[in-house]
Amino acid sequence: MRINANLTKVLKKIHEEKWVALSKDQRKVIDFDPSLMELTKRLGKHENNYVYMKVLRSDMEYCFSFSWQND
Amino acid sequence: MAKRLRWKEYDYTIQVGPGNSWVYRPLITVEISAKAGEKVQLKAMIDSGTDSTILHAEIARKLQIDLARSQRVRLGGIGTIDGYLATVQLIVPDTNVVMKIPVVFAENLPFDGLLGQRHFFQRFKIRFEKDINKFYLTPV
Repeated sequence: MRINANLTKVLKKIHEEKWVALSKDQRKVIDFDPSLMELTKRLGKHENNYVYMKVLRSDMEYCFSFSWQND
Repeated sequence: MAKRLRWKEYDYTIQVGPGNSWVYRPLITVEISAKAGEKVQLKAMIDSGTDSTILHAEIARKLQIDLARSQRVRLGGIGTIDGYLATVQLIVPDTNVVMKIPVVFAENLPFDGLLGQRHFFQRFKIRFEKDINKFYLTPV
């Protein structure tokens, strides 16, 4: 299966800061929701057929990089 | 004679960034599961600047991990946030690598997951070729 790596046409403004369920080839958004639990609940028995992603806002430059320490 | 490595090739994932620019990120699909039997496939980012593996707390809830009973840790980068440490199984389906590793779950992350130096980078050789927007993995 050829995976689509270009999500610029697949993900729209409406998907930003939400969880999306992508088809396995990443060519379409099956459904989306602010909550991953709600999204997977709606997809029901098909939930494992998809790849999930929380979509970043497009108007921000991101710098990730975390370290952690014990409390 | 040196053993010839078999690299799995990936394209950088392209998303829209500031000013409608295209942003290229090294995302791969990983499968996360826990004791309760639930599993979820995610697009996580390989991040050499992150110490450990960081996942959004919603994934813990999906996997029925009780974060209230997990060890609390502090995550620092630009700003600090609380996180909770729990052990999950992480599979990279393309490579058949299965790892049982501690990860940090945190609320209010803008992304679903980061695969950091501890565990992930120890388990794979990773080659970034940004000039052609491809990256490569091979299990160690």
